[in-house]
Order: sequence, then C-alpha cells, then structure tokens
Amino acid sequence: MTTQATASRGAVAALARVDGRKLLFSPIFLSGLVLSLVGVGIFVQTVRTDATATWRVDAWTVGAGSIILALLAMVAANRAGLRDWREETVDQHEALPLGTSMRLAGLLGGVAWPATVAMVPVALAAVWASTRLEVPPVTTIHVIQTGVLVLMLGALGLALASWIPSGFVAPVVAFAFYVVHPGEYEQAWHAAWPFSFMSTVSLASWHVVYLLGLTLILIVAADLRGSRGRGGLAALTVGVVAVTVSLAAILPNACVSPGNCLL
Amino acid sequence: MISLHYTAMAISWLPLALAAFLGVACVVVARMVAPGTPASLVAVQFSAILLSTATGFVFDDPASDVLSASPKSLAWRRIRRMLVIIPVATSIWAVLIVWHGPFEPESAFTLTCMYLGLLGLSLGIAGVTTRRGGGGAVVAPIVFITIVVSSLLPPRWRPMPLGDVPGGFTSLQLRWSATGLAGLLLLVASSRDPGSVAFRMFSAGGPGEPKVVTPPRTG
Repeated sequence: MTTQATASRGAVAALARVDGRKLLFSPIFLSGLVLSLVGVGIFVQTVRTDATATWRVDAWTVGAGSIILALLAMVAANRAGLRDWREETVDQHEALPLGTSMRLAGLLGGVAWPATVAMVPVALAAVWASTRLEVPPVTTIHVIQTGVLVLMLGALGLALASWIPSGFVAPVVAFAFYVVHPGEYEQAWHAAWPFSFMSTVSLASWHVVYLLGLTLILIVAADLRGSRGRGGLAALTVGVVAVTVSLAAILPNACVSPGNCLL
Repeated sequence: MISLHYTAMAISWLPLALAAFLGVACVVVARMVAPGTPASLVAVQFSAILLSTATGFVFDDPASDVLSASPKSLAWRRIRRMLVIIPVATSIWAVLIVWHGPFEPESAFTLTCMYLGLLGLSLGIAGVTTRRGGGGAVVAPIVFITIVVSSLLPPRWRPMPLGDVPGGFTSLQLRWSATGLAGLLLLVASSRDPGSVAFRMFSAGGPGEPKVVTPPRTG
C-alpha cells in the first residue's frame, strides 16, 4: 500500500515537472510575463525620471502587470487542462493506471511553477525600489499574494476545463476579470474581490488566506468528476472555513470610514 | 444557390451559443442595474468581443487534411463557412444593440465598427492559427492579449480603443475599421491554397521540398 502511494506521488511529481515546464514556456504565459515586465519597466522609468515618485502611488503598473500575468496564467492552465479534449485522447488516458485525480494533481503542481515565476517581477521591483524609495512592509505579503493569485486562477482555469470543455471560456472569463471593476467608490465588500491588495500587513495576510481557501474550493470543483474519496470533502471543508474566517477578519476592518478603505 | 446545410452541420456552434448566452446576460444585467451608464456600454462592448471571438472557431475542421485534396480551394471552403456563421453572429449582435438601446446613431455606428473590427481580426487570427495547427481556441487569448496591449498604450496610439481617444467618434471608427481590415488581410493571406502554383513557388526551396519546375512550352 505504502509502495503504491509512493509510486503515485512520484508519478504526480513527474507530471508536475512536465506540465510546469510546458506552462512556463507556453506563449500565453510568456506574453503575460512580458506584460508584467513592461509594468515593472514603466515603474522603474517613472522612479528614475520623477523625483516625487512613491511606491504607493506609482507602483500600480507593477500590480496591473502581475494581475494580467495571473489572468494569462489562468488561460494557459485552462489550455493545459483541455489538452486531452483537444487531442481526443480522453479515452486513452482514462485507461492508464494513474487516475483523473492524480493527473489533475500533476497539473496543479505544474501551476506552482508559473506561480513562483510570477512573484519574481514584483519582488525585483520591490527590492530595486527599496534602494531608492520607502517601500511599506506589506509589500512582502503582496509578493506572496501574486503567487497565490496565480495558483487560484490556475485552479479556476482547470475547473473551467473540467466543467466546460471549450477553449473559448477561459479567455472570456479573463477578459471579464480585466474589464469588470467592483466600483470606483470603495466599499468593504470590495475586499472580497480577488485582485484587491490590502494595505496593512494583517489584512493582506488574511487576504492571502482567503485566496488559498478559494484555491482549495476550486481544486475540489475541478476534481469533482474524478474524486470519490473523503479527501475532497476534507479539502472543501478546509477551503470553506478558510474563506469564511478570512472574510470575517477582513470585511469589518476593510474600511476606516465610508469611502475610505484600506484597499 | 449554394447549399450550406452540410457546412452548417460541420461547424462547432458551442462557442457562439455560449457567446450569445453570455452577451444576452450582460445586456440584461446592464439594462437592469445601470441603463445608459458607462458600465452599460462596457457590457455591450463585452458582448461584441464575445460574439466576434466565438466566430474564430469557424475554420476548425477535423477533416481538413482529407478535404485539402478536394477540387474546391481552401479560400472557397472558408468562404462557405463564413457565409454560415457571420450572418448568425451579426444578427445576434444587431438584436443586442437594438434591445439594449437607445443609442445615438453615431454611438451605434461606432459600436458596430468595433464589432466588425473585432470580427475581422478574429477571422484573420483564426485563418492563420488554423493553418498553423493552432485552431480557434487560440483566437480568444490572442485577441485578449492584443486588447490588453492596446489599452496599455497612450490613448492617441491605441489601435483598439475601448474608451475615449483624441478625435472622438471618427477616430474610433477609423481605428476599428483599420483593425478589421488588417484582420481581413491576414485572412486573405492565410487562405491561399497550399496546392496553388504561386504558393508552391513561394515555398519552394525549403529543406526537403521539391523545386517547382515549369515545363518548357513545346510547339
């Protein structure tokens, strides 16, 4: 039994390595990486030419670039999730000893690679900026949040691939996330928007927990067709608890006064 | 009279059905929540993007390798497919615009230019990617990336503007028309028949490809 579990773990790790490399070098993810670096470049140029530049005001291009990168990582993960469907190899792979859940776990492990790489431009911008400007301590949490955001959206891409097997859906969802904004007038519930970056260490940390909870829920949703075990139920419970507790911690404290929020 | 019945059966309609459903949902929400506001306009623009990129699946054909040996040219086969899907997508778009209304005539014309520009671009990208083996699934991500890149540029340089640009409606109409035209050029270029003499002469000389030799005229 232990040998079988070890073999499964080894297979999942091998799949994660292969899919991780494929995702990293997919043209869609690379386009996002270029756009993220453009955001960093614009910020660097602003700091070099404008003596009054600050991290809080001018680093928005870095954040915007990382959000676009996360959205394109979702599209790339969705394409990876649809590979069997696209190549019409679903039946062949169903006949393999490694089950659907294990293959999905491998894909999710693969998403961890772009999630790690997505943190690099933001971290580089923060390190470079700290030599010239005052960078708030919460930036470290924001760097981690970028990686978790890619993980969460990667899980969303895989859930979409599992439930609506069409290459059309993920780009549409990405575009909806890109154009839809909760509103110019800040309100506490905007903190539940996945792309909110809270401005205190405590709230930002809870927001990371919130995103991790969403990730777990989406992983369960993606695996709902293949999973029959208790592991899915346990993951769903942990995800729901994480989302509920983090929202309970964030929402009452997100706004100092109406319209003046820590977003 | 061209019989398009079999062509219609060979096309994947799921993306267009999804786009129509989501487009209708967007317009319903826009009419209920924020009629006549910029948010409502975003919903109509989003519907245009949905419908146009959904048509990018029109050239996907699992039997393309088999059909490439048929006497009908690639361009002709593509025209038949476009004759089926473009009227359907454009009718849905027209219904959405009229249903969402009222728009000033200039606004409605600008939105239609945007839809047609995106349609031309999507078909152009679909033409190229289908030829290279990517298929329609790549169209929407590429359109998404081009719109994002366009929105990162200063307003005066945006080729695909979603908001105001210097020059007002005229400039918006010109830019979207140019985008559509560029897409159509891509489509025409990618629809050359691989079996045509001109194409073979263009591609001859590559590694492993036979040279095209024109036989001498004999009297």
